[in-house]
Amino acid sequence: MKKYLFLSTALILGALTFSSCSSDDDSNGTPSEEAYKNRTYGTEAIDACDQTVTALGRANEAIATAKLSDEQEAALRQVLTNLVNHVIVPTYTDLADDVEDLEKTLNGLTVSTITQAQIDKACADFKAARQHWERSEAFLGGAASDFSIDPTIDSWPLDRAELLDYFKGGMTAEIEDESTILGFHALEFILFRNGQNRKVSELQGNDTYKNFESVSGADELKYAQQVCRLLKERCFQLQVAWEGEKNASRVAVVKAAGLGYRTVNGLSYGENLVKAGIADSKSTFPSLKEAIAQVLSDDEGSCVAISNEVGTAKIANPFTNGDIAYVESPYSYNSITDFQDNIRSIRNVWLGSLDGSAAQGSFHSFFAGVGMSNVNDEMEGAFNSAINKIGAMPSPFVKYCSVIWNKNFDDPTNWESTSEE
Amino acid sequence: MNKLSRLTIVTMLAAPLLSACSDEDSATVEDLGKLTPDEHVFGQATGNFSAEEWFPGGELGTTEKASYSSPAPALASISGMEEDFNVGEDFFEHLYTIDQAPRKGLGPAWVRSSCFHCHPSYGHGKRQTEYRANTVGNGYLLVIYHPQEAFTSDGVRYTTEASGYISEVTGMPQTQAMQPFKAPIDENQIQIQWKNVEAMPSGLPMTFPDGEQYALIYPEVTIPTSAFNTSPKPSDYEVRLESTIGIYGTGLLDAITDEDIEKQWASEARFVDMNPNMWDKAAGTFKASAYYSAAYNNTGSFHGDHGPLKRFTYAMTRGSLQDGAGSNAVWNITNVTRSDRHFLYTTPAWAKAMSEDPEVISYIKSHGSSPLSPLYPYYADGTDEGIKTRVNEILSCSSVAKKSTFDKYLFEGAPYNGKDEMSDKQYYQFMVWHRGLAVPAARNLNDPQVQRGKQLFSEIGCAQCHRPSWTTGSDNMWVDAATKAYADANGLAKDGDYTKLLPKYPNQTIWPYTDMVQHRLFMENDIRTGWCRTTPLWGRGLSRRLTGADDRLHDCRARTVTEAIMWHGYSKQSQGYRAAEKFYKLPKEDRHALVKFVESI
Repeated sequence: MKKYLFLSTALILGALTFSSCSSDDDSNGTPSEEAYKNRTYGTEAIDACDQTVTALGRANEAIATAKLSDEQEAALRQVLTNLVNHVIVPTYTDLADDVEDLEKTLNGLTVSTITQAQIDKACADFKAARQHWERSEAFLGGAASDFSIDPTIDSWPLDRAELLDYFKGGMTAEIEDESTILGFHALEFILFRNGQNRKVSELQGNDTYKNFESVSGADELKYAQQVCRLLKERCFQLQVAWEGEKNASRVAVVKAAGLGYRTVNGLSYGENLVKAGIADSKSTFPSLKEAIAQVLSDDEGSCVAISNEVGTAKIANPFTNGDIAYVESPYSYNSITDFQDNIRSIRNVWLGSLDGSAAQGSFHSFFAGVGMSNVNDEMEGAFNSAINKIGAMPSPFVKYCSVIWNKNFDDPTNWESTSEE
Repeated sequence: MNKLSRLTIVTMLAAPLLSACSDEDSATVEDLGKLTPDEHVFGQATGNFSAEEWFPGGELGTTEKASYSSPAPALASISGMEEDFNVGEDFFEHLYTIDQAPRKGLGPAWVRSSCFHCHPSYGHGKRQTEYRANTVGNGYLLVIYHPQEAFTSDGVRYTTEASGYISEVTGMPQTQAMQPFKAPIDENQIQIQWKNVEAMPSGLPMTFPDGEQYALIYPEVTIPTSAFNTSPKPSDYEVRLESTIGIYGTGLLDAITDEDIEKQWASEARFVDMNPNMWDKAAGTFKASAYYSAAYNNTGSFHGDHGPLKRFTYAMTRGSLQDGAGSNAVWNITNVTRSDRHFLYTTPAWAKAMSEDPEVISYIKSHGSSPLSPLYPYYADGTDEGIKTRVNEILSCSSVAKKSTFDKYLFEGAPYNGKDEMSDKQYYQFMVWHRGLAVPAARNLNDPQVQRGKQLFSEIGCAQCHRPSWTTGSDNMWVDAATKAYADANGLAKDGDYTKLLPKYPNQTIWPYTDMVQHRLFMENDIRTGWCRTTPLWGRGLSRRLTGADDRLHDCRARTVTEAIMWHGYSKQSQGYRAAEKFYKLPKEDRHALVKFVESI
């Protein structure tokens, strides 16, 4: 593992710090009970996200306020091209592949003959797909935003009351657009409980979850198959929207589902980004700099936006404000990994690769090329620190927040918010 | 949001490099030369634009980001307000659920399950070909009313001020309901058909003199009587669509004084007809009905004998942002109870239909006995007759006059146990967010084409209604009871000044491009009554980029700025006809310049 030594600016970290560029290990052993009571970990994780926001803002400002030479402009256009070809499209393709695998796995299940190995395979497929989704959240701007895909496939909390109604109503309601009971977190509820894969006995009988005792595993499986099909269509939509009509069978699925995949001006989202500011290109970006701002630092759909969301909402809402219901991925205990993967999506955008190494034609190589390695040091220090600080929080996150606030996630009478006080 | 001064950036650009220890740089780095600072045009006077026109929301209400979701600089002056803004934003950005705080609500019927369903990416609604409450981007409200028709001199049918809403469903009709209730309207039966304009009654051709063509489309919406789950069912009605517009900048519009708006109406009343429901032509003043009041709060005595001027929504139905469209929507769209609204957004006709529906009764009978169930309040004594009576009693709590029934049967008992779904603090935080949303800065004002566009916008008369600029007053707004209760409970306004708890925009020169007056364009299938407040144009040029769409006008019928302008010329009687006719006659490059101006402000 390559180690970066970086000297941060006094403004940011104020210290000589070592950090790993691609720390993929989420596990910090089994935390002591005392660790769950320690607020320092959460506070430091939130601060590290904020520092990532600051670093991204500086990087964007450096470009936004510069008079770019032709060579610099060409280099930045190459950054966008590589970003589309080597980060965005591959991430969405991997996501689509993995959700397709999950669908095959789920569709191959029959309750009467189901084995634990089959359930475990579905859970593994889920986590693989989940990782790609979380690693795409730095580039929600574009297709995911224009087609409102995020709320369709990643909204939480799962509305358990509505889901219960759906089962009680004989599963006859149309769920195509019922965002509150669709997507990853609906599948997560069927596949995982308390951080464990569901058990054969549960799926062969009835659920044991509070209020769901009358719901059969067979119905849950049928529901999961439907949810996964809809999820797959949306993931195909993302891939097709960014790469254009290259994968005919997936284009056909998207079209059959009645989903859009071009910009309002008729381009693919990849073209729309790389052609930013080119006259008569039909790009919705009037200038290259505005496209760079969308990628790095715009309020919505950018690297800044996801870093902000992880710090000020995904972590802070449950951790700082006590909204325990806000914990993302509470059934699979995947929250901390999700948050880290969100920050890794920023890393991938910055380095122009999926493996933590800096590619030629990346923001990293651009800033090195203009002699501003300080920007790289600050940026890379910030996201590495965020990944590490998030990973340092005691896992599972739902337990950490529950202990801090002395509230039980699963108890409906505790689904309350201290922000009310 | 993190702000960085330009000074810091200049320093960064000029600073000697900090020693970077990344290892690969020396071997593989392509030398791109140093970054040099660009010419600084933003915020400088340029051509026919003043320096302040870069800041449409004034100093306190403009973000320099290309964004519809940024907090305004006004927030920065008050410690802790950005945090409240962030929490408030969350009520906008996430889905509501039936029983999971803090975004809890929805029952018994609802219009949408989140704010962003209608305000995609914080912007304008997107044109739809079918009405689906769960489609994100469908910003349409159904407008269902008894038409009183009239015709323009060139034969365009329109409906008059007497065209009142039907009473069987709510003014913003719901197409979603909690099981076992049936939505007041079955949305599967709603038809939206888009029709083409073949020729305009005004005689303006559909091809510009230089040969460039444009096309106009408009929706025709039908809902059969069978779609209504009410008793009685409505008759003699027609349907229109009204789309959301962006949310940013509404705090600034609220800060314009009633007196300044009255002056604008008076100056226009000399030349054009004004909405008789708002304007007293003989007296040259607003009528009493132009001022807002509500039965459930004290807005009506805000100015002693009258309330704040109605200024929000196309129909200018609400005044004071604190009881404006957003304040109302977070209660009735997602159906969330809060302390100042202890009643339901329902109608007696729906209550009656539900109470007489055997499926509803039997479902409640078999699923409503648990105190944890959201159906428990309707369960009563568990008999068919008891459930029927209770369903009717609760669902017909459609005004504050029914508060005691609402409290007794729904609010005080299980599972709500006297707890509002949105607390006073949460409502306060939501309003900090709402009032605190900044207007995005103008763009490209140094572009000669945009400067030419500005000149034409004024010359051909667009600016008469799309009034460029206003100066706000002292912004001592009406403050709602929920915010006051939160402040009192926490000792935040001991001096009695509650306005300081909210973002304020005093004495700002702003550039919304609206006269805050209602006009009639007499378009085919026009808005109910024809009267529509001039929509602000600020920030709209970012819509394609920020929301993926740029549909315009009240029902999203215009797909481009040009189409929106040409709709102003549909009838010769349109109050925008002269401007549209002049636009039609402009050379192509001037039309494009005007459009580019509209997209830059």
